Amino acid sequence: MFRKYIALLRLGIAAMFEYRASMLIWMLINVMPLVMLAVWFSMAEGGPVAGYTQSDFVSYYLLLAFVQQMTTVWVIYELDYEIRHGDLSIKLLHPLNPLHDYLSTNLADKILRPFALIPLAVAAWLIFPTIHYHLTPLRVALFVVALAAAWFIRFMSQYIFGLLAFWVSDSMTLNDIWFAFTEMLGGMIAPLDLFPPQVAAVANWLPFRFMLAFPVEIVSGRLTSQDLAAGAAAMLFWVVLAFVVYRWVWRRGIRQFSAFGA
Amino acid sequence: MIISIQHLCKYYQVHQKEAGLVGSLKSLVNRKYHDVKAVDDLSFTIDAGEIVGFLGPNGAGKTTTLKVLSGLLYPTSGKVSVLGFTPSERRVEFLKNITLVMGQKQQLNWDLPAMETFLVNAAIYELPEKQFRQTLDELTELLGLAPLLKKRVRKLSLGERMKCELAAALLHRPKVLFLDEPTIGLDVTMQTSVRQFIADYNRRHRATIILTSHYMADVTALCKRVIVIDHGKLLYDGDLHALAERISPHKLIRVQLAHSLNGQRLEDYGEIVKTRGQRVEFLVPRDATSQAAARMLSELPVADVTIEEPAIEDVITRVFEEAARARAERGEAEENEDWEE
Amino acid sequence: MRYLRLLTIFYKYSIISELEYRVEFLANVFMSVFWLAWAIVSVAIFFLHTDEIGDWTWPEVLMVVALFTLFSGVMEALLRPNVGAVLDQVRDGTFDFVLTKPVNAQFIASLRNIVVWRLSDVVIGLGLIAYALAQMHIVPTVGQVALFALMLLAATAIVYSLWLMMVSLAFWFVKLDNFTELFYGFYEAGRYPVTIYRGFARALLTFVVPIAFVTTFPASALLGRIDQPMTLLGLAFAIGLFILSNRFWTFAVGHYSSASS
Repeated sequence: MFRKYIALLRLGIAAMFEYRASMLIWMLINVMPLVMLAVWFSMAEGGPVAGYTQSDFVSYYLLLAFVQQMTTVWVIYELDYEIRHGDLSIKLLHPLNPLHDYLSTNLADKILRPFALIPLAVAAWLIFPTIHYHLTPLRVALFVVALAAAWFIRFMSQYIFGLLAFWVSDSMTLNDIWFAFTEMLGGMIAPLDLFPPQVAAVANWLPFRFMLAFPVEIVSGRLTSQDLAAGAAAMLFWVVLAFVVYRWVWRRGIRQFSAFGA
Repeated sequence: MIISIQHLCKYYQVHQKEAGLVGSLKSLVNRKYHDVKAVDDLSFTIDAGEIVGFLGPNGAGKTTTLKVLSGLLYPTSGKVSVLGFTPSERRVEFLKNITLVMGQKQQLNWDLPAMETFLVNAAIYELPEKQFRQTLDELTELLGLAPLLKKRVRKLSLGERMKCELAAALLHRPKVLFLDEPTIGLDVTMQTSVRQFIADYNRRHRATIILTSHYMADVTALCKRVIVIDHGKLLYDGDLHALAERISPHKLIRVQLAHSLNGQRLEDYGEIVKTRGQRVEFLVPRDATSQAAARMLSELPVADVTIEEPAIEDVITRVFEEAARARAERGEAEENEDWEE
Repeated sequence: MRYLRLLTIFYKYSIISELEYRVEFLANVFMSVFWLAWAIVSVAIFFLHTDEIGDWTWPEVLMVVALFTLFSGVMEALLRPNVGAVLDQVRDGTFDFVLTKPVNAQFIASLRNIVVWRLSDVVIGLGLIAYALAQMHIVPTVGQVALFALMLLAATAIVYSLWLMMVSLAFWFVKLDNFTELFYGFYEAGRYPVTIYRGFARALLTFVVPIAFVTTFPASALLGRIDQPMTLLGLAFAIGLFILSNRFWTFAVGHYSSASS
């Protein structure tokens, strides 16, 4: 399996190079974190907003932008197209679950992306010298794990919506709605503790938090050890659930596809 | 017995809708389904090393059968066995030993050289390095791939791409090949070389091959045995030339006349199929061929004569025409039954 | 007049074919409403913590959001379908057919296609503006409404011109099929009143890629917040950009015609 992934990643990276200009554009247009930052920054001009100073907002949103970049997924477009046009058949003839093909394409992008992000990160650090994080070895390690988990949950949930193309024609719309919730309850519009307390209490357990905000919260210094433990447990739960649901949908989907074919 | 199909049926449920707004509303409330029988009670077996041609008009069920054999489609009923496996289970060992080449679909990565896709396939099929290199060299030689491997696939011509696709499909040295229209869209030279390649491959590796094609030249060149399908049903399974003889118990005599006739009537010598200037084509009963030819040579001013089998295309067309006629007759009988009820 | 008739014909058939897919149509309208609700909720969250954003109050910010939605509708309905079409045509080489028609190429290329259901965003945007005004108990004067309409027109011209320039770039950047997405990056910044940005960013969004004129200025007009110099600046910008884009388009087509074989 390892050998297969190496081969697939090599292909993915080579293919990415063919599209490096397009890739750069996709990266640059991800401005939503910056727009949100502008709003909160202007609001915090006269003083902290619910305990967040301007510097806090900058630290939060710049890191959120980084997490956003490192967890982007677009597999639903590929999957939807290939299912509707019957191109999935070709992948099914190979003795390998098509999931690995799609996964490695996305992974290849994630391997290359940091190279483009580092100059941006350095620029940000120079422009905003007041950004600060609560960094301990444990938290950094947890950050990396949470980042991977966020990527996984995002990928799997989009993949599952993509598989719905086996049954319905509107799977992309459903994914759009899911994405809207991620932006709302995943910490993009506002850090989760700026929500009304009842909403925040619920949002803390929903998968959206673990698809975007949680890695940032880990190093933001606002979570106690208890919070971290609870969060980590919930994160694990959503990772496992994502995989389980994927398996369930895939088994049924492939039966559906093979009954009707393309 | 490598491939075995017993009473394979593949039905699709399609819902009918009448045209117009009223029809749309009606179909919202009351959906009527009817079965489309893509494959209807098909049975045959194929032994190792055979090259079998699948013949049939569009929509006859050929591609459906190939997809069932490769595990892409589940049968509605019937038993299917390929290399001892049930295709729909899609076992890894099964997939490693078959290949399906569909003319219109491609597996090569569009933006990169074909070689990159080959390397990935080598990993996916878990091919030992030495075997992979050997197979690649063999395929490169047989298909003339050397100048193509490093070029980006989107820069290749259709024929070059097809050759690379074929190579990609055969890297893992499958024992069973399903080729669906492998020469479609290729020019004549390319078609010949692909045909040559398939014959060579079959000889070298004793691979079992099922081939569908609209080009009779493919079938006559490669297949001793043909399976003829129409409307999902088996019409004929056996030797190609035996079929020709059975359906069309004639031979074609082509005559080139040296000069115009002196009152002889051409119709006396056989059924005239075509005349063009001084060239005439006759259809003559098989057992009377030598007699008819002898008569022509002695009585007519013949400059040149050839004796041929009638074109296979015409034979096959006749097979389908007869089947259509038989179906129509059956259909009429069914209609009568309804009416009586 | 001929152009008006052509436009009617273009759009009539688009509409008919879209109505064929009734369920999809409804689903799409639902999504319009959904996204608007999402945008309003987002702003509501901001206003949990403040009374003003960039000197704009809650209903005033809603107006900017409404305009953002409105112009999204305009872009998705009228402009984006055509950019894709031109890109495809240039790639396939079928753009020549557009050039040989006895109709202005810019007209066809930019207005040929329409995705009707997206206009629901325009309707929804206008509805939200009315709601916001009601919340403020403001009844705009005739003058203000006229100014608003003028600013809307100017904004439309600006958006159209920017898109036309992007379409023109298609002749050089045929391979780069996502560069039109760059525009969306800038447009996102127009979601909220442009006063939230400071210095460099605000200048960028006002004078370089004038998103400020699209979402913020028409709202300002309706609220009586805009002064004469700004109004004139906006109009000048619109006209200037329109002419510039037309020039650039002509240049691009000329380059295409002489370069292709």
